[in-house]
Amino acid sequence: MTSASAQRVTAGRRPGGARGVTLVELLVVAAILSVVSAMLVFTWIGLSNSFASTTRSSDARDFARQAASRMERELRDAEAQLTTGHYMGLPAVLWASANQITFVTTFNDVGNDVPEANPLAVMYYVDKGTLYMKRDANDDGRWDSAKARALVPYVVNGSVGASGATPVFSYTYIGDDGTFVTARPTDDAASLSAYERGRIVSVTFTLLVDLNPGHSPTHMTLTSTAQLRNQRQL
Amino acid sequence: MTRGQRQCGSSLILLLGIMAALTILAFTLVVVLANAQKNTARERAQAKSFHVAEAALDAAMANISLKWPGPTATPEPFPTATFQQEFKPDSGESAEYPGPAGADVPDVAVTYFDDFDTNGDGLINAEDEHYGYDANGNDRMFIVAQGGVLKRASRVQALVQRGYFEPQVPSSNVLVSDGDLLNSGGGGGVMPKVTIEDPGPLTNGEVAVDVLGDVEGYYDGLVDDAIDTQFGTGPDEHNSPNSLDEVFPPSAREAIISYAKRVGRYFDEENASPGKSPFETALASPQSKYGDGGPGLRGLTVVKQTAADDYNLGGNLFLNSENDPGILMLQGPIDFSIHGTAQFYGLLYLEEATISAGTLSIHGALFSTTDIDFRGTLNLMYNYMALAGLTSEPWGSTVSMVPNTWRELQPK
Repeated sequence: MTSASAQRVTAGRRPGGARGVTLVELLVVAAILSVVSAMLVFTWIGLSNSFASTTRSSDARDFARQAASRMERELRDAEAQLTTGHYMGLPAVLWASANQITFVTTFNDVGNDVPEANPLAVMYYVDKGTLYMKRDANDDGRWDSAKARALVPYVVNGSVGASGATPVFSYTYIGDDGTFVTARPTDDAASLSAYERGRIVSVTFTLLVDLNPGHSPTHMTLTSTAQLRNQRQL
Repeated sequence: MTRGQRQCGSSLILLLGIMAALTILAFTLVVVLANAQKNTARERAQAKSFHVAEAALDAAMANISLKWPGPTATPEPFPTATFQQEFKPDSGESAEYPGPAGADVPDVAVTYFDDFDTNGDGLINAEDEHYGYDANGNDRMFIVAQGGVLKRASRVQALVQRGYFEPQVPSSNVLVSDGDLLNSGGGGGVMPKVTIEDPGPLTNGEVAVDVLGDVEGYYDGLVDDAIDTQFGTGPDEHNSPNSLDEVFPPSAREAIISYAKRVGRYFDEENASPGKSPFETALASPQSKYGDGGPGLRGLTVVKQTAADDYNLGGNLFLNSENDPGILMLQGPIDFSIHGTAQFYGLLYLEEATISAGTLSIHGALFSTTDIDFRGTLNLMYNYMALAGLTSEPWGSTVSMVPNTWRELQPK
């Protein structure tokens, strides 16, 4: 090796003897980092989605269960207005159709331990995939606010079922001959008759809730039957 | 420092970062799932507490139906400990209805208050409860029951009313049988065997004997002349007798049976004591109407038995009295006889059951779907007071919920 070439070689080295990286090395490193980064990102996204999905389905379950529990307890408490009120003279259940029920109840009314406490109207209905509730707290025959309270989103009763839809409510009442009759309305165009509503002893509701909205459909079925305690002495 | 030395530890940092992220995700998922589990447990406890409260309400209704706390009555406290025993787990099992702080039985609290502002505060509510009885005597009271399971509680309230039962027993028939009337003992015994002890407002000929079947044996003189005998004057001769269904309609019998079921005086194979027949269970039942632990056939007693058996009761047995008559209904192939100076006051109804020779004296009426044989010293005496007393007898009360008064309250 000549002195000049020895100097070039020496000049190509980093202090301390470290060599620089070649383009190939750089590309290899970049490729490996890309793969690792991609793995990390996809893993992260997967985990995030899984987390979001779990949270979402958990929330959906919670919402549905809370709403079902509330609805069940309110239905249990349904009682007709006997002495006063806008709905006096009507049965405890004011409207009973496939996806809507309206009734008067004292549940959760302030001071409902006093016998004179008047039951108030409440309505549960499913519209465009959401279960809503309305109240008539001042008993004037009008719902308190134009805006209903959304209780459960992603209700898919309207799109699941053998006949294209699953009605939310079905009703059991005492028929003319004293036997139990179960009515399963299929739409909301009409309600059970006042006679039938006055003899309802239990209401069964079925909520189908999408646990993974916006993705491949996965729904849970929540069903419960509320016995109307004030009707059981019929 | 070489490149290897400079990069040493970077993988560890990367790994730590990934593990930290995974740990956070896993932890969050665990929290979410644990929360869901907790919600489920809470809902279960809530549902159980509601069922305990509902059961307590029903038990309270049964309790005061036995002893209605009227204006002058001593309030009957709710048997809390007895009720809680129903929820006690078997040895070695975990409590299905654990009370607060993990007790093995749920919390139960029941109060009564009148539907009347007894304390004058302008409100009818549980503040009136300390009176604990039907102060205004209108046979209506509120019951409030609260049940507690773990940290959840439910409280329900209902207005209940007392109802009275009035059995529809015909009061002018001393003997009705859809079978034959026999008196097959040797010589017939001391005649007549069917007499009038207390005619009440009825005059001669208004007390009736209706027999659908034949009259056989020593029938002559069997029935007192003052009684209208709807079976003619000889064997196989009939005089338009009424059937049992006409005299004592099935609906009236069903009402009595239904009432007996409600007040625990109905005995069949299903509720018979172990090793005992329904008849034996009824006989040994401590809860006679008088609560004196006497023979359980007193007061209102309905026995339905499918197995054929003979029961021969001996001794000086007194079932009921003229002032406190009873109804004894025996259904099924029961052969029943009483020996000694036995007395029965009220209505003895036999459906497929038979009464055999004995020394029983029946003061009231005897109705049967089958043959009746008066051989021996069986005596039947029409007693208006005993029969009329059946409809005015304080049979105890049934308590039912007044519709539209059941409410679920905020627990206290």
